[in-house]
Amino acid sequence: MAAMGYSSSSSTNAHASTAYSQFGSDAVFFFNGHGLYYDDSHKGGGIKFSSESWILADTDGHYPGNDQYYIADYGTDIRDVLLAVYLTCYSSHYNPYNGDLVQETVTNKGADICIGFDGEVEVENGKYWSGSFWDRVRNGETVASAASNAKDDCYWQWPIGYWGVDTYEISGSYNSCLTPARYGVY
Amino acid sequence: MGDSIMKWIPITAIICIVIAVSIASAAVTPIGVDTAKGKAQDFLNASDATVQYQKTEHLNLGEYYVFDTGEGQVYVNTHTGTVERASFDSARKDSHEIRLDSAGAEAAARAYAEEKYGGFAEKDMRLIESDLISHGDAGSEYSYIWREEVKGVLTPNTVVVNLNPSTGEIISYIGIQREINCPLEPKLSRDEALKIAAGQFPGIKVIDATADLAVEYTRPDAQMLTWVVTMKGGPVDHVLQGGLVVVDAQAGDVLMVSPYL
Repeated sequence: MAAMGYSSSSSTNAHASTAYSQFGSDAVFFFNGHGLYYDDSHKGGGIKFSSESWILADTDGHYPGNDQYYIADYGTDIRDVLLAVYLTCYSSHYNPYNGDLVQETVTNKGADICIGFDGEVEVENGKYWSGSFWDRVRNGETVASAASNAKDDCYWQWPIGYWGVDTYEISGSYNSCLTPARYGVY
Repeated sequence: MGDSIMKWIPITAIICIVIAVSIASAAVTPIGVDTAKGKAQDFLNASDATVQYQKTEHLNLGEYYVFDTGEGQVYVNTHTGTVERASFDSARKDSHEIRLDSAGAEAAARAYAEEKYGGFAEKDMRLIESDLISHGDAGSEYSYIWREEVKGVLTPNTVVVNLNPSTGEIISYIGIQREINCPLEPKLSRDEALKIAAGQFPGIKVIDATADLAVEYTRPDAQMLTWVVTMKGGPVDHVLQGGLVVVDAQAGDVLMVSPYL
């Protein structure tokens, strides 16, 4: 991100409270970790942090883990986020219990762009997809173009196949570039 | 008689060495960038297309010159000159409305594969995936994936055609074609591979699993017969268990464990 003019910071095994409060100050938010899964009919809508803490789109009364923080509870906090990427299983899948992270982030809370995955993604292909995606946006591709081409970059790695990265979904201004560095439209 | 044998042996040996050396150098000498550029233009059916060299990319299954076409990229194999991948960014426009039915889309994808992938009709190419995939606000695409199957083994020979469901335009293409040079008979059975894979996720309660025999390039230019296993397990602490596991189908070694996110 620094090469694009953004100052960046990252943390591993952070608590959801840290990420939840930081999200409001970010231009770009990138999460790489586990997604929420109760069963095949109730999956998605949440990303998992340390100590069983979660950021969830919303809740209908289901509370996974020990601590929960809701995108739905933000006021205008993430309205100037340019891009949020949730690299987890089912991050763009609607969960009747905990909502839809991508829709909640863009449609309800006003971030410019959000990317999630409707299917299962795993560590190695996820890592390759994200490395390729960020390279491509740094080289000036639009978010939609970078996501699509990064998917094809994964296909011919071993083992051959998309392995879920083809299920990416983008909400918002998908034809935008991330350069020049900026916040989202407030 | 004895003298003539003594003379012929070294001469024959020298000829063999010369031939071996020239074959080897032909295999490793890359084509020039300008030649590759011409191949890219041929692929695009436009000899005057603007094609700009971007970089050379090294993958396990080959080395590529990558060209920017202004609206996408073309990847030319540096040794064979074959275009093995192309993308067309502008073809993604207006991909929200589904105007093509799946039969029409598949016919268009197959026609493209037959045009661009030499010997497509002659090989035993099995359609292993055919999906209409939504990318949310970014539209949708039909995705068709063929893999060659030999003796029940998926080879690296594959064709991918992704196309716009509204216009039928090709969004991206991948076409890999390689000689198979590793044994196709596994020493490890499917059940043994599944057992090894399950062992990578202690305590997993398997709810679904697949296992495919596949030739993969696990190292640069080196084919290996593998079992490619996906294993889904019931959740622990609200997280899906399992993932992707690749096992050497001869020795039983675990080559990759990639848990679900």
